[in-house]
Amino acid sequence: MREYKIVVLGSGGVGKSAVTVQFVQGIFVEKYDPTIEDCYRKQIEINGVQCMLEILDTAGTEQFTAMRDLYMKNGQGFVLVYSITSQATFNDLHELRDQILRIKDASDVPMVLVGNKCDLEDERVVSKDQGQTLSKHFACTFMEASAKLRVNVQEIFFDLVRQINKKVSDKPKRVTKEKKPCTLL
Amino acid sequence: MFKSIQQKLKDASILEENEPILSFIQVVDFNKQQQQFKKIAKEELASLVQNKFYYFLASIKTADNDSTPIIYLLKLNDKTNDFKLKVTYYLDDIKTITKIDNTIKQTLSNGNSLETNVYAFELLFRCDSDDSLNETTDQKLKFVWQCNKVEERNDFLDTLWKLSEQFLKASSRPKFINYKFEPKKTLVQTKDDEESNDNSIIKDINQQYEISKTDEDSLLKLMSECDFASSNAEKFIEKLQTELLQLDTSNIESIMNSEENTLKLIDMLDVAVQEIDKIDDRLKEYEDKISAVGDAVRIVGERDNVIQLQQNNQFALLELLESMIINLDFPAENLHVLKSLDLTKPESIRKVIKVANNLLDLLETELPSSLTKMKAYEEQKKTLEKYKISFCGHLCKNLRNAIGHATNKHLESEGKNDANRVTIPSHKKIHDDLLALKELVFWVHRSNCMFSEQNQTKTFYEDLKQNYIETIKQLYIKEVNEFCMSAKAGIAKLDRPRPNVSMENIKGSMIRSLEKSHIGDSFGSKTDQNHKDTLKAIFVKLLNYLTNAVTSEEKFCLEFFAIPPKQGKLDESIVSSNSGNSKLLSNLPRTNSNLSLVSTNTTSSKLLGDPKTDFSVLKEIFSVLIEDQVKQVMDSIIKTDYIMVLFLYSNMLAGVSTCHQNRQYMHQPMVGLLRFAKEKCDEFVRNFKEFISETKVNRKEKIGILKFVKYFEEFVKEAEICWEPIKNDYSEKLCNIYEGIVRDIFKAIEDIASVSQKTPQEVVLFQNYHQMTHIMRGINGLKDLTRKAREDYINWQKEYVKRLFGRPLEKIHIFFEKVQAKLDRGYVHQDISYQLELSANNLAQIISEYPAREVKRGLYDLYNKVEKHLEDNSSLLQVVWRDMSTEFITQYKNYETLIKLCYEGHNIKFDFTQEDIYKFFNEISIERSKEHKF
Repeated sequence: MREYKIVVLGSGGVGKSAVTVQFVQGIFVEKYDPTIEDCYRKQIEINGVQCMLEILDTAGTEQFTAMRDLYMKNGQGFVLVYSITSQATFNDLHELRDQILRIKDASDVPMVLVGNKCDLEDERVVSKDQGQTLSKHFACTFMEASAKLRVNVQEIFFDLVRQINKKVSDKPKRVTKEKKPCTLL
Repeated sequence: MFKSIQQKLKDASILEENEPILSFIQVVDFNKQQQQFKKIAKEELASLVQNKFYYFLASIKTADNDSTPIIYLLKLNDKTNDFKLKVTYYLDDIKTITKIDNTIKQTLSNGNSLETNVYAFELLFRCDSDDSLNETTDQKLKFVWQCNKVEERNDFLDTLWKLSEQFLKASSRPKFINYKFEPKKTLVQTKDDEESNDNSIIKDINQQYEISKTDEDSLLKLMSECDFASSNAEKFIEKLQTELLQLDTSNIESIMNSEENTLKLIDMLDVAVQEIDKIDDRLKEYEDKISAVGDAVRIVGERDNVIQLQQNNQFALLELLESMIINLDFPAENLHVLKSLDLTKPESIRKVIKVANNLLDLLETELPSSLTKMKAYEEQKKTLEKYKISFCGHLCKNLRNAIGHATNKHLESEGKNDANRVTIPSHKKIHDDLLALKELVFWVHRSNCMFSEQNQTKTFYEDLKQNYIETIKQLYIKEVNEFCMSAKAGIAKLDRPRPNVSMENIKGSMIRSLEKSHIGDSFGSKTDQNHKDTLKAIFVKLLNYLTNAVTSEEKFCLEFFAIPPKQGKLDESIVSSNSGNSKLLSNLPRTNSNLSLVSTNTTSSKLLGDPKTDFSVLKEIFSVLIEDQVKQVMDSIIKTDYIMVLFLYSNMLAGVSTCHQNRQYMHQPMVGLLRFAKEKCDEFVRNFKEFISETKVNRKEKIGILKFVKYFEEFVKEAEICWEPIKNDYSEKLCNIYEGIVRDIFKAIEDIASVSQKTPQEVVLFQNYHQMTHIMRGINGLKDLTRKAREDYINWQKEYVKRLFGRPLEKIHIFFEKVQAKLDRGYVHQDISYQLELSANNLAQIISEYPAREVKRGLYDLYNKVEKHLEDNSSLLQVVWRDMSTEFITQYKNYETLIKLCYEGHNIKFDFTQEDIYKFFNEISIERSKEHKF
């Protein structure tokens, strides 16, 4: 069975764990407990193929964040989560994405941009258009989700798995095309 | 001739009565003639001479003692031979009079050339409006007149000159060009009388005027005398002639007499003119001189300006060059300072820094681009650059040596006691030694000097940094390793009482850890707690020492390598962290809730502005050293006592918070360690949960408080101790752990109860739920679960009491059940005793089957049963017993009530009273507990 290493990233309190737990266990965690780092495994079936997802739910708060490099290096697909009720969490994603690209040393990394908490329409600060625009800029998929109401939760991970599959199948062509220069260490 | 003309003119009333004719000239308009010449060039010149003649007449008009010289332009009518006045000019209207003597050469059509002498003069009139004439008006006011005879022309001009000299003010005099007055020396007698008028015209005129008057008088007299003899005309004429002659003679005489004076006057005038000429010359000379002087002054002035300018330029240049020299000058003594490079004394270090900075200043000064093109500049720059590079190399070598030296010195002093290291030696001495040189390091950074090594260009600064990192890294590896080794050794010492080595799988060690503390309850709780405390102390000490070492290293690196200039803030945070670390376990800065923690963190990071201090040096020095070493220590702690994961986890949470608040580099390895501790803790919890769900009981054995419930109690006890310092910030994390375990425990209790045979299901349930309630009651986050446990406990206990107690007065109970049934069907109370099977006799018989003694014995058996069901020494026994007594009393009361209602007057009584029942229960309970005591 193929394994997919997925990393969920985003600022503190945007609902990374809520989305992940909702996806993995089907529960909505109401309590807020800043994650240090949790790893979940879940088996899904996509196009009749069984896939094992290894989802790394990372720390969003600065306090528990250090040396993201390692899991960025290991991750194959990334879920970038912000909360539609906080502009700052939206803005923070630029830096994260830059870091991913830098560490992966690639321009296209399977990625899904997620605007979580879309059930809190009354508290919305980040418009859907803004999200859409950012996703165009990131050249990735975009969806607004609600971990609470289980909106688009599965779609996020399914889409990411498809992206990873697509990239893997594209890869042989690209290797012949692109010759990477030697890097001096 | 003049007279006839004068008469003619007077007749034509052109001239006034007393206007004399002073000069008369025939002229031709030269311009017109010229035009005609051009027009009819082919025709014979002869035919051309057909010209209209004009005449000029100079006269003087006298009115009111004011004499105005006038020129009349007359035209002679050919046919009538009359004069016609064309224009009258006043002499002062004329601006210039030019004498023209020309020879015109005309080439005729037949090839012959004709030379004609032209005698002409030009009159240029003043313009009324403006003195300065422009070209057009000039043409209009310019007339050239040609005369036939040169004498006539000269005479005319003479007259005009004299008139102008005499009657006009110098300012309004016409200017004579090409003409000079030449007085005629010839005698007047030879000339015609009035025509030869001499220089003094006024005299002349007056004379003439007088003469004409006397002439008239004498004529009148003569006429009157000869009135009658007018016929004798000839006589009259003769007389007239003689008189005329006489008059002429006297006239001539007077003229002769005045001539000498005139000549004298003329001479004087000549002299005056000469004088004037002389003066004029001199004036001209002066003027020339003055203008020469003026020129000279001007030139001098200009030259002065030029000189001033030159001087300014020179000054500026000098200044520029001076500043350039100052900016580029590097005295030899400075060079010497750099070359000798004495880093042993503080003052010489200061000097070196000063000189070295001076060198960089010189190299960095921006000079105007024009100057930089100078060869001298380039050379000096090159020289300075050479100095810089050679000094930089030299300095770096020295600095590397200094680093090595400081490290060696440190090793020597610390080397003795490394066998059993109890601290991480302070690097203060190294830091102090090197900080004295920090400005030189900054200099190296500033100089940005490069060198090549193995085809790579590196800055000296980077090289130096790398050198320091390598050196100090080795030192740290050694020291941290030794320190951690000694910590591990200390931990291993505590690990000696290992009861069952074969049980060393993870789960086993978990059980052992929980078991140890649990067993400890009964016999050596102190030793276990002591062990735990020692382990904690070792770990806290380890972490403190490491944090302090890293913090001081961080402080040093930031200062020594001058990374960002945020030192004020940094020092503060370090100070607070140092004091904070010592109280790490007991006292942590806290915020009220998790959410506010997040928000304060983000806002504080924004307020501080610079959340990303450059930790690259520290990263390289410590790399994974701290994480690896501490992880090893953690591992050995966990091996010794698995439940210590709770402590490690909580302690790392606290440590991360502190480091994060202080923005220390230590935060990074701390987070790594936190992840590790959390992982270990999760593993423990996972194992615990597995243990819970896998717990099997022998269903034929008595089941009391389940093992995992006991373990959970130990777990909670330890966890609460560990979380005490951080409960405000991280209670949620612990609650989550609890919750997971509790849910599994509940499930396991139910499962085990359902298969229990020996022990009633209710007992398993209520005993364990009771225990769980007891364990969880103090935990805030588990209120819901605690409530559930409590409810279950109460329910199951009731259930048990009900079931076990049953109906100790079985027959009485059945009897009263029937009574109750009848009553329910609508029987009146009094009628009950009339029912055959419910008669008072029957009842009395049944009651007599239950004497007090028998009842007590039954209760005694019941107590034994309960005691067997329950855990040994269970506090619940008394609770259950009391519940049972209550149950019995309730039943008893019920029977009594029914007896009173239905069998009133039959005198039916139990063998025992309510008090008796209480007494039985109490007696049994006291008796039994006494038995236990012995």
